[in-house]
Amino acid sequence: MNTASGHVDTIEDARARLGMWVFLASEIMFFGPVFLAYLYGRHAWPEAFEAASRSTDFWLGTINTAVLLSSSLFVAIALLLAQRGDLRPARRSLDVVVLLGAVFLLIKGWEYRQDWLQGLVPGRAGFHVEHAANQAAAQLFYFIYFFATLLHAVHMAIGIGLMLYCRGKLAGPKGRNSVRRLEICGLYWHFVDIVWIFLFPALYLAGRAS
Amino acid sequence: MKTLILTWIALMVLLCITAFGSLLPLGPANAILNAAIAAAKAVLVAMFFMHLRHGIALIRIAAVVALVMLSLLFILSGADFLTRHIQHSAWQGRGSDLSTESVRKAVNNY
Amino acid sequence: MNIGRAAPPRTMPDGSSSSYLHDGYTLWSWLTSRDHKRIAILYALSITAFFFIGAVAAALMRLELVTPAADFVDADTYNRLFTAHGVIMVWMFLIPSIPSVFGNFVLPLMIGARDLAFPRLNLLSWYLYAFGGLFTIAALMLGGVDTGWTFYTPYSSVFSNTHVILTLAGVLIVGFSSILTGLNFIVTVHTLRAPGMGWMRMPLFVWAIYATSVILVLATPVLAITLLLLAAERVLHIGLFNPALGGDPLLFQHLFWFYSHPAVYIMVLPAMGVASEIIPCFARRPVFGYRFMAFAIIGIAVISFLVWGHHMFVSGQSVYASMVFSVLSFTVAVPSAIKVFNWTATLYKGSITFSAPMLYALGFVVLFLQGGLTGLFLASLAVDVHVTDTYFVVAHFHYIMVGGAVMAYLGAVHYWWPKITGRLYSEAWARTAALIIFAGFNLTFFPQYLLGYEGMPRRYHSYPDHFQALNVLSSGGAALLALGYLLPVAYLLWSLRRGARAPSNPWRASGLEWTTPSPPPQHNFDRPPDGSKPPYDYPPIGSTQK
Repeated sequence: MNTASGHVDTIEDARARLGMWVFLASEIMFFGPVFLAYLYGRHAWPEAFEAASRSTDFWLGTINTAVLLSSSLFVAIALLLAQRGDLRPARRSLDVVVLLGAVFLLIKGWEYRQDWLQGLVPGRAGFHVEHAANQAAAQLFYFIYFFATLLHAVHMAIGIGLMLYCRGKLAGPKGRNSVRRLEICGLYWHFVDIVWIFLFPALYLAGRAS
Repeated sequence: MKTLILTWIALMVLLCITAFGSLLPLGPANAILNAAIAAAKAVLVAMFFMHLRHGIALIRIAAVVALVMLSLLFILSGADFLTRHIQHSAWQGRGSDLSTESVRKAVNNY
Repeated sequence: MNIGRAAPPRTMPDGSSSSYLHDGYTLWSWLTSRDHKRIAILYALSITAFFFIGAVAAALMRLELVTPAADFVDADTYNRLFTAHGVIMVWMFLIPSIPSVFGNFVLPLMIGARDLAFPRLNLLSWYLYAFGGLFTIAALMLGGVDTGWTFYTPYSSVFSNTHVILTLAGVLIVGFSSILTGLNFIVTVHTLRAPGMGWMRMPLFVWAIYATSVILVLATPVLAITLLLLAAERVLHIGLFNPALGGDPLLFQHLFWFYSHPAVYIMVLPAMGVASEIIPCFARRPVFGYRFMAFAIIGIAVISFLVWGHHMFVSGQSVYASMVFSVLSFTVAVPSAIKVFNWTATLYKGSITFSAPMLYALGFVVLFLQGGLTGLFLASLAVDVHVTDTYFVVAHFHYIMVGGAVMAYLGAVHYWWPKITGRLYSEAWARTAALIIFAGFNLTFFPQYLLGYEGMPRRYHSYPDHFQALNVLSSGGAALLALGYLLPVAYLLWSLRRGARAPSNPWRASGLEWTTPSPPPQHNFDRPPDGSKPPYDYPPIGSTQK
C-alpha cells in the first residue's frame, strides 16, 4: 500500500499501526469517562459549572489550542518528509513540534499558577468562584478541570519524550524502523491533540455568553 | 503537503468560530455548535493528519468501535441521569461554606 | 490421526535445544524471556499463588459462617476477608487465568505462529501484573481493605479507614497489564495466522480469546480512570462521588459496572473457548454449528457492554433505565444458550471418553447453564429486588465463575498439560479430583441459592439461627472443594518428575498445536504450517465412526 508520499508499507508497518490504533482505542475509553463526569456536573449543577467555566482563562485556553493544533501539523509534515527520505528537514519539523509542545506545557503551568493565586484550586481553604451560588459544585468543576488537564499534560509530556526519541532515531543510521516509529508516535501525538480539542470547549467555553 | 496546510487552515478557522462564537449569546445553540465544531476538528485531524483516510478498513473499524462503546456509556448512563429526579438535600454542597470539616460534621450529624 | 513420537529433551546438532523448557536453565533466562510459552508459565505460577491466597480468605469466611454467632472473626475482619477474596480472585486470578496462561501458550501454536505480535510487550504485561500484585500483597499485609471488591462510594472515598489507595494502585497496574495483553492478542490474530487460515477456519478458542481481548481493551481503561478518580477524591476530599459535596454515588457505580460487567465475560468467554476445544476432541466430533458458535461469541461480547445497570437496580437508578437494562440483560442469554445447545449437540452419537479434561468441560457446561439461568432470575426487576445483596447473588456468580470459569481453567490445565510440560499425569487421580471438585462445588454453593432466597444477606458474618443448617452444608462443601483443588497440585507436580513422557498428540486431537512436539521447541514451527485445514477435523456429526 502506498501512502501519499510514495512510501511503501511493509507487514511490520501494518502490524505496528494496528497495534497503536488498538492502544488509542483503549485511550479513548480512558479519557471518555472524564467527559461523562463533566456532563454529569453540567447536568446537575448548570449554573455553578457555567460560572466556574467563565473563571478559566479564555485567551490562554484558545492560544494553547492553536499551539497544539499547529504542533499536529508539524508532526504530519515531519512524517511526510521522513517518508520521502528528507531526514534533516524532518528533524527540523520535529524540533518545532517539541518547541510547541513545551510552549503548551509552559502556558498550562502559568495558568495553574494563576488558578492557585486566584483561589481556584479545589480542596484548599480559600476557594472561591465569582458569581457561583453553589461553591461546592464549582469546586467539582475545578476538580474535573485539574484532573483532566493534568492527565492530558502527563500524556503531552510522554508525547514530547516520544518525539525527542524519534528525532534521535532519525539522526542515527537510516532504517525503515525510524520512519515506522515516527508514524506510531505521531498517531499518539495526534490523539492527545484530539483529546484537547474536546477538553477546550468543555472547560473553557461554557457559559461565556452570559 | 498542500493537504496538510489546508487542513491546518481549516482547523484554525474552526477554532476561531468556536472560540469567538461562544462569546455570542446563542443559548443552548452555543453548546451544540461547540460540540459539533470539536467533532469536525477531530475528524479533520484523524482523516488528514492521522491518515485514516487511506488506512485499511480495519483501522477505521477500531476507531469507530471505541467511539461507539463510549457513546453507549454516555447514552445508557444518560438514560439513568436524565430520567432520575435528583432532589438535593439542604446540607448538600451548602452555599459558600466549603471546608471539608464543616461538611463532614453536617453529614455525621445528619 | 497421528499421535506422534515423544520428544525427550536433547540438544540438536547445531547446538539449539529441542524444547523451550531447555532453552536456558537460569532464573534470569526465565525472567527475561520473550517466549510466549515461558511467559505463560510465569503467569501460571503467579496466578496459582494468588488463587491459594484468595482461597485462604474464603476458607476463613466459611469457617466463621459455620456458626450463627460472630465467634471466629469480628465484623471488621470479616469485611477485610471478603474484600481480599473478591479483589484477589477477580483481578489477580480469574481475569488473567485462561487468557494469560493458555491464550499466551496455546494461541500462537493454534494459528501456526512463532510468537505473539509484540513479544517484548508480552513480557512487560507480566511484569506489570507482578508489580501490581506486589501492591495488592502489601495492602493485604498492612491489614487489607474493608470496602468490598466493588469499592462503593462514599464509603471507599470518604469514610473507610483502610488501605484503599494501595489496593487501587495494585488493581490499576494489573489493569494496564491486561490491556496490553488484549492488544497483543488482537494484533496477533489479525496479522499472524498461518497461510490459508481464514477467520472461519480458526479454532473457537482463538475466537473466544479475540473477543475477550476486545473487551479487555475497551472496558479496562474505564476501570482505570474510575479508580484514579476515586483515589483523587479520597486524597483531596472533593465530592465527585460524594452526595454531601454535590457528587453522585451512582456516577461511580455506572463507571465501575461499565467495566465490571464485561469483566465477567472476560472471565467466561475464554472458558467457553476451552470447552469448545475439549468437547469435540473427547466426543470425536466437530463442534456443532461452528458459525453460530463464532457469532455467539461476538454477540456475547457486544451485548456484555449493554447490561451493566442490572447491578444497580436497587441503588437508586431510575426505573426507566432499570427496565432498559433488564430487557438487555435477558438478551445476553440468547447467544449463551445457543452455545450450550451446540455443545450438547456436539455430543450426539459421539464416541465419548470421560477423560479428566472432558469431565471438567462437561462440568463447565452443566454449572454454567445453572448459573446462567439464575442470572435470568436476577435480570427480572421484581425478583431482583427480593434477592439482590443476598446469598442468591453470591451463588449465581460463583456458579459461573467457579463452576464455570475455574472448572474450564482446570480442564485447560489437564488438556494442554502434556503439550506444555511433555508429561502425562495420572488419569485416575485426575478423574477423582474432577469428581470431588464437582461434588464439593455443588455442596458449597447450591445451599447458598436457598439461603439467599430465604433472605440471608451477603457480606454478613453472623446470621439468624435458622440459617445454620444450610451454612454448615456450604462450609462442609467448601472443605471438600479445598481437597479437590489440592489434589491436582499434588499429582500434576508429581507428573513433572515421574509422569510418562507425552507424545505430540496424546489425545488424537485436531489443531495445529498438536502437530508440534511435546513440549514444543522455542520457535514452535520449523516452517509456517498449512492453515487451510478445517478446524475440528473429526468424523462428522451423526457418523458411527469412533
